[in-house]
Amino acid sequence: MKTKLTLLSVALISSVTYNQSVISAELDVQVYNLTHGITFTPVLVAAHDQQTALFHSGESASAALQKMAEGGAIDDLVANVEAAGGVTLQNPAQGMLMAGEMASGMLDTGDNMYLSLTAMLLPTNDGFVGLDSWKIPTQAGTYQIMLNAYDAGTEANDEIINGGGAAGTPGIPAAPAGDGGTGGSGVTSTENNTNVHIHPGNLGDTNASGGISDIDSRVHRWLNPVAKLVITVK
Amino acid sequence: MKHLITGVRKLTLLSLITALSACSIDFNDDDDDHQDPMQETTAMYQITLTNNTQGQPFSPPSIVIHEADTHLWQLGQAANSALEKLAEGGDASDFSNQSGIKQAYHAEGPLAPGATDSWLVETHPSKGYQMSLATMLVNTNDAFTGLKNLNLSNLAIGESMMKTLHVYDAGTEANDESALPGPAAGGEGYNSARNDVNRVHIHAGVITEYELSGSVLQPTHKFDNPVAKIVIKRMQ
Repeated sequence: MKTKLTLLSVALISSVTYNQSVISAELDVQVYNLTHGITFTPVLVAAHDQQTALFHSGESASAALQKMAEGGAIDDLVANVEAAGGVTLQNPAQGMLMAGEMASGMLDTGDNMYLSLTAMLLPTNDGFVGLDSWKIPTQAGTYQIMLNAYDAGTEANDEIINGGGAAGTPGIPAAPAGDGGTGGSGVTSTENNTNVHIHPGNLGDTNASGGISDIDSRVHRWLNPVAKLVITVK
Repeated sequence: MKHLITGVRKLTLLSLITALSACSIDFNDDDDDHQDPMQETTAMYQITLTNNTQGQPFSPPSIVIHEADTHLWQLGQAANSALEKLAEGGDASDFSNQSGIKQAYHAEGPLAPGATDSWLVETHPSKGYQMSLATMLVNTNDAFTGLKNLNLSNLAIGESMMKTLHVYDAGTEANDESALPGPAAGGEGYNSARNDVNRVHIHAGVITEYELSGSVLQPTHKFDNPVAKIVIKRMQ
């Protein structure tokens, strides 16, 4: 009798465990930087509910998104997502994700059904690669998503590399691959679309010590998509 | 004539929904000549369009409901003059009044970069009609975005779908980046002359005054795909 009860309780426990694994999803995440010469700052992958988001195109950027898009810092976005019950995979590349490289990690999404991603693009003023609220499939399998470059709409794209990475400070923090210029006079001082939108791309020039831009038009341009995300739902 | 404009009317339901602004022109087919027993199965869709460019206002978008075998443009083929007028000058009046079109909706004004607008569109799902949308990027010679031959009948009530839109070049006007009607130049819109490849194709983007002599365009007028986002929700 006692043995039977024990077996029964084991069966109950395992069935509960099984049900939980149906609700939550274990994800393998791979992020590929597909650009010619653009560097991604630390990547943030977040699983969250339908009411939560890192950004929406056509809407103004949150302060946390602006901080990420202008300087690469993801801490405020992480805090916002976690405060709303979401979970995050932070900085899988453990630093910059250079052009041509891939970073991978794992994320247990719990009961969060949507996936988002951000990382700043360098050298840009407030460009970022983004995924907004992709519905996580319930069926196990491998899924590929191509990602576009967005402009946070919070800073004019002057294309001057001056170390300016704080929110509201003009300029580009750095060209991490060491291929940026100096002495540019500035491409523009205005931002036409102050909502999050598709990035128009870098202009750049071919003058490393002058011209209008500190960006190299031969190295730092891109066309969408700029990244590939491969998600394996286990 | 089967496609005479027999009346311009505002949809009654439209006035109940305050945030929306749109006109509806009903190009009546022969439906009104007899009682339609399926009248109560009219479906209502909310079409929401966001301009995701940095500096390219959209001309007043044209949304049309048409027969399934109507194609308002074909990639790789020459644009008709109705599309040419829309893509070069932002004028959708001919575009929305073509054979096969059952209903046409148009915005009252342009859609600015970053702006979002919504329209209510009604159709009979049982008839198998499809939806197309087109709007000009006004700071270009003949670039337009849109979608064509979208089947709405698979959407259940309350369900929505999102699509992102690419930029096409109508192929009817050379891209000198100067003879353009938008605020960047305030120049010529439609011109019946055809001095480009004369086929609709994916737009290669703009070059700007920094790399094209004679261009009036600035870096802010550059764009990359997708330039717009559309959400279609079946309301009833």
